[in-house]
Amino acid sequence: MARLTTIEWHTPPPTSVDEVLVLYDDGTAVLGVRRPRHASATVGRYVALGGTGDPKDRDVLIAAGPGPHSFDLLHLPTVAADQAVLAAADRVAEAARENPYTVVTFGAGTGPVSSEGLLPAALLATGAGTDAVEFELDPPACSAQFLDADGQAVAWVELPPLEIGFMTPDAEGLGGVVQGAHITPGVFGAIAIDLRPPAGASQLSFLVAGWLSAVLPDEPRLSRFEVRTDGTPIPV
Amino acid sequence: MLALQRAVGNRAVATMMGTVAQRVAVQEATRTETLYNTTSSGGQATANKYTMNPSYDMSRSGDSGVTVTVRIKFLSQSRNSVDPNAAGSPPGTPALGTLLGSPAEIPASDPRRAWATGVAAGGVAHWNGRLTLVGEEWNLLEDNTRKRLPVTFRSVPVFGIGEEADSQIIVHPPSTVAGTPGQPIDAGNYYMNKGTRYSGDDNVIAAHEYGHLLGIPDEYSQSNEQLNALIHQAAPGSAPSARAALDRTTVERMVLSALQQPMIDQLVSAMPAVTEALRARRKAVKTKMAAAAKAGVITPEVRTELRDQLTAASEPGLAASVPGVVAFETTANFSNITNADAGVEAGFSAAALTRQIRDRYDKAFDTALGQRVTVAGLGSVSVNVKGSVPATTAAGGAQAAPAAGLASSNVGAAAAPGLPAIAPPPGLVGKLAALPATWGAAGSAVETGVTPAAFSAKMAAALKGTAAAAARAAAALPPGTPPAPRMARAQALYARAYQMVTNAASAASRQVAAELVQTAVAPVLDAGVSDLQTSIAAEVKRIMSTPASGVAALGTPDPNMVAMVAAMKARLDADKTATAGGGRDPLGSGGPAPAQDVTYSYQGLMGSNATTALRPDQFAPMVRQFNDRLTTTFEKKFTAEVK
Repeated sequence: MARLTTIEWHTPPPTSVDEVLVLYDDGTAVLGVRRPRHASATVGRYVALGGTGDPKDRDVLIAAGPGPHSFDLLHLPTVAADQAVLAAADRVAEAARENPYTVVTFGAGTGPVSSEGLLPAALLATGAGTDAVEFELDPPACSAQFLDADGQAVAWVELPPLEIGFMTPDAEGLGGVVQGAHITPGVFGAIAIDLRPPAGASQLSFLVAGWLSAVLPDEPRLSRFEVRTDGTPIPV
Repeated sequence: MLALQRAVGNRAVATMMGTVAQRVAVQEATRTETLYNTTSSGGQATANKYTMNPSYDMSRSGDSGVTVTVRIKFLSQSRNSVDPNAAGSPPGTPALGTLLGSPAEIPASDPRRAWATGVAAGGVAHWNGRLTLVGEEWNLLEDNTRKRLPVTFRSVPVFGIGEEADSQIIVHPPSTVAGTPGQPIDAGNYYMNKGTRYSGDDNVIAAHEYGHLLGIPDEYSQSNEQLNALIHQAAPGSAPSARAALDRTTVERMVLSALQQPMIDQLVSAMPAVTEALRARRKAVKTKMAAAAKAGVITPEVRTELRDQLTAASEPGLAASVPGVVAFETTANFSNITNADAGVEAGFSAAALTRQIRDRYDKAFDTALGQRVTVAGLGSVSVNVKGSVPATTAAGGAQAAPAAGLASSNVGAAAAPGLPAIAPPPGLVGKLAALPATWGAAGSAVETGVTPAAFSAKMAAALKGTAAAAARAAAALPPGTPPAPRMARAQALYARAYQMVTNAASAASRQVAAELVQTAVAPVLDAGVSDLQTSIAAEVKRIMSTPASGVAALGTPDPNMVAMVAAMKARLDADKTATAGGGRDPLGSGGPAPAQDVTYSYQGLMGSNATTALRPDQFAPMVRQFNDRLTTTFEKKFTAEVK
């Protein structure tokens, strides 16, 4: 399976969007999402099989050459030919996004705050697609973010040391801390984390960072990912 | 003027002059900037041109300070979020993100006004308390008067469609989520609802855009020549030596980046020697793990967690049985030996060890390559080696042969197929393979890492995670779904307790095993990369900063390293030659901006936003405006002082 063309979407920090679309000669289009540009806490690999989407878009992208063609989303192209490539790539990427292959969605769970002021929180990970997603957290790069009712940041704290990775409701270890997590589609796990929310905090969100394995089929190396989970209400 | 000064005094005259021009509107010509923010087919960075329109008011309040005011007009306007090429799109649908119709005022009661006011105020927070204009007033008969004028930055929101403003921004309501189709965040569009995509806060983003209104260009994705111009702008006195030092670091990073994949490939190919050495110590680890599990599973932390969860899941009538069940499942019915055997086998499988060691080595390279560089007179800079550089050592690449040679000599040769390893090969593989030999000694990694306390901590955390996952599963049920029934029979209680103890203990022993391996190999892998960096730096120093007379004293270098460093230096030299004289904005001045193998990003507020650092040179255009338009005849030119 050889690459025909590669398209990348980026933004400079602090947004740091990092998505890549690769068209292969077997007709597939693979979208790798490491820092999503959409409002989503999902990263991983999506695959659009041959025949998905408009063949004209595929033709446009292949005609553009092997690339990589990279686009800065904060500085969109002004040349018509580049705009056409970007538009076609966007459509193929959206078609691929409908077909998760190895993806994980992160979330935050919360329980009632204890009388000692501790919030029993959980970092959640759910696998989706057709094959297991593999990743590893980078705990020092993760944080818990406290939000007010309007979603504005109140404060953030580093995560305490994580003793173990994600656990299923049946106490099966999925990994994810020091060792790689291996989560098959439909399976989810949680890491329990006790936090002390500051005054004014009414929601919890996690900044989740780590390494994804093989986000593209021909790139076996690890690659960095980073997402923010939706704000989850803190029960009072 | 001198007569007047003699008659009424210097200060009085200066004060009079100071009242002549107190407020000026600054409207600079449209400026351009060049950013290397796209990629060529060969993996090099390619350049693009962008524009900015500096505009602000500057007022001076005598000798007490200066105020810079930017008026930002916040308006409402929707963008097209319908893909014009999607099936069913109406004919004539504009491109995604196109602003539709004309901008309108945000209604007075609309929450966007308060939000925009907050963003405007927050954006300047990073600028205030930082800049002071420092100057002197010339006196004829006494010492010059030193003056320090703190500069206050203001950002005034205006909402009237006809009001004057320095910039205009569309504010999108909470119902519009940034990052969804047709809603990309850019300098002209702010979103109250950024979803989860934005990792930066509004204030930092607004502060960055505020800098553009002051005429300060971006400082990320810069070529070597552009960064050189920036260094000259920031610290001309030390610029030559600063650039030379940065060039040496750049070549070092290029070589390291080019060697990363060959080194990893070499380690993986030689990995059997390492995994076999580690696996040979499984028995000792299992023995220690079994003891740790036996003692760790009965600690109060673990048993309390088990009791609490099982009690919560049981009918009240069964709750009294829980402590006994927990005691049984964590002692008589808990096979610590089986548990340890499974956990260690899983953690010490050849596949698991290979992956763990390979990934850790990869991360060590990434950490080294991501280290920021302190450039004298400028500050922290990231060096971003582009994909064109590691491509030179891929199969068929020009540097594949010397890279393979270096990988072999540094990592160690792969084991010959079919032949058992008699002795560990030298290099990194040898060091890794030698690690388990120390595991029998007092104070070894096994002794300090595989302990009841470690096992207990992992198991308690595993059980808490289990409870959190169970809570999540219950919460995910559709509304109205009755909760899962509590356990009413002892058989169910025993089964659940057995499942929890067995699975959580398995996860705990696997985690302890993984951490044992990690603790052992991480320092060796980090040192391997560090040693490689040292070797690279020595050769870079030899060819880039050692006088010819001193080269011989440095000994005979590895010919493969000589080839690698020479090749990367040649690439950097070619990049520099191609862009020489282009300055900060080559495309803006009509010149070429050839593709580059390396880009640089200043880490401050106008660069990668990793810090909120500012520098005096960034304010040069503003200070020039001040000196030209808001100083008196007796005042020398002011300069910027930045905290």
